[in-house]
Amino acid sequence: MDFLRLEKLTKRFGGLEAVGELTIAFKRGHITGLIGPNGAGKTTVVNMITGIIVPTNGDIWLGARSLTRIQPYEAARLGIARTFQNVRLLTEASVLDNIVIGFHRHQKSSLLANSIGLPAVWREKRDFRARAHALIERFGMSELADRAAGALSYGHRRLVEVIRALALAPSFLLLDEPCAGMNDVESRNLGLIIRELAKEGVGIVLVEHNMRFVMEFCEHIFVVDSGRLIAEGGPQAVRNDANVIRAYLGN
Amino acid sequence: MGGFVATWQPLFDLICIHCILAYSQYVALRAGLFSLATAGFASVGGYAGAYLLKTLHWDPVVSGFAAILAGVAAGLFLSLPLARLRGAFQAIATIGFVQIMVSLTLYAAPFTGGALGLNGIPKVATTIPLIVVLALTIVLLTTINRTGIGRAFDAIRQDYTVAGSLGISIATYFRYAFALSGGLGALGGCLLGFNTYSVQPEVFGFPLLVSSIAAVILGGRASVAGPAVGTIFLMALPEIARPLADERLLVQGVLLIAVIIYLPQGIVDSLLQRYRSVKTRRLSTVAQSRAQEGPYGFPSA
Repeated sequence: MDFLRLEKLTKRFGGLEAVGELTIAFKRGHITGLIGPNGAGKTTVVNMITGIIVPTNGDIWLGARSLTRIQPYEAARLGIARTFQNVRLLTEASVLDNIVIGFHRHQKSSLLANSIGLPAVWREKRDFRARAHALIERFGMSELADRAAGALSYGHRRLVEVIRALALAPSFLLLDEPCAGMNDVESRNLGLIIRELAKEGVGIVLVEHNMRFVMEFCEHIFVVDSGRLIAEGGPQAVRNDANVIRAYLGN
Repeated sequence: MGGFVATWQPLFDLICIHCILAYSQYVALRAGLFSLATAGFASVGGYAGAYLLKTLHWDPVVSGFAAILAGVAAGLFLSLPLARLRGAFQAIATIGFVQIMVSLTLYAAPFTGGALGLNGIPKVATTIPLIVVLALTIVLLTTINRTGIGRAFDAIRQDYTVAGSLGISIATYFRYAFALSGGLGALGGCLLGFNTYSVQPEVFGFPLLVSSIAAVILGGRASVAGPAVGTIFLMALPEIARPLADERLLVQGVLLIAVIIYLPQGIVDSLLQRYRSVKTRRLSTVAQSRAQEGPYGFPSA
């Protein structure tokens, strides 16, 4: 369970190859960057790992378990959480309820028990709410717990989405452009949070455009262009790689 | 007093029954299903119950339970192809199901009595049993809304991609919603037969489809009180304002348009929302001034 590996992962949409024979691995407890110019296939990779898109070829492994052809909910149950490029919260629901729903993975009571409201179900509900409150408090959002999620500022909404993903107690957390639309202070604070999470053993996969952010927080970086791996290594090595410079700046 | 009861009791009975039918529709919408199959489920339950009670002389309660099971089975059967479809496709397919049930009950004359239907059904669903059954239904739905099922329904309805990414099996909850909607629809149909002495194919046709969804839209799609209020409005108003009774369909249409324009969430949900926003506005000014700077320095809006 310590590694999330992609082996020759390929996705073709008709004649267009979005991702081609990508072989990379992410490790628990580390922040790994997945970067590349627009249209490089980064989000496609995230969608394949989380079961939203079925790969054309290749395999995805979580430890010894294949994730290649699973449903999104199965990926979540195996401990793979994600956030979305454009924040997707349940806008009608309160911040607290948004996070409580993240605990669904841990629900043990059956559909029948929930239908008739056995005592265990209410115990579980109280437990989820208490744990959600604890998470909210950890990120300093307690004052906003009862606000409708749709009424929050952009930075707060991003943070709620991250907290919701953490409610799954994931082994890997896939962040799809978490800094989009954030100012420098906000993104730096988010960086500090994910660094803390990595220390606790979560594997962070960071898909991001903000170079400064990536260089500061990632320990290892994979660079893709047109769906293919063109470089990998530490921030310094990647920054000076000729292929990377060509992909971003042109010849 | 006796005159008053005799005058209004039949209307009260019908309101109870149509409430249950509206709840069958409500469960589907709540789960994010665009199922309009309630009238078809009612047909399954109506005929199953009537056949068992009148032709086979089963006990009324047992017949009722058997009718519910038939509705659950019909719902599960429908869910096999439909749990994978979304939105408009589900709506069209379920309208097809309602039409198929109307034709089936017309042609399967040996069991259903064809166009004449089944008549002379003993009136076993009187006011007291109806109140009990409706109360049990409300308890069931309130429980579901407040437990994990309600949470999952809310997530699926608002954004099924997010629901999936949080570990919610959408197909499982769609199947569950179809089964529950089927059971409640069949229960309503069965009670209709047990209360009005007869079941006929066109009773479970397009007008019932429209009236059950109208009740939910009118009353509200989120809270349990919504469909009940919608049903009462739709059924009682033409009776109270007697001159309107002849124009029942017109009144229904005008009411619906007015509600969709002025109370788009339905009567109950819109009023609740207004009440809540007044309350939170009072609280949030305090919260906001305190939350200007969280420990991670996110300034609030």
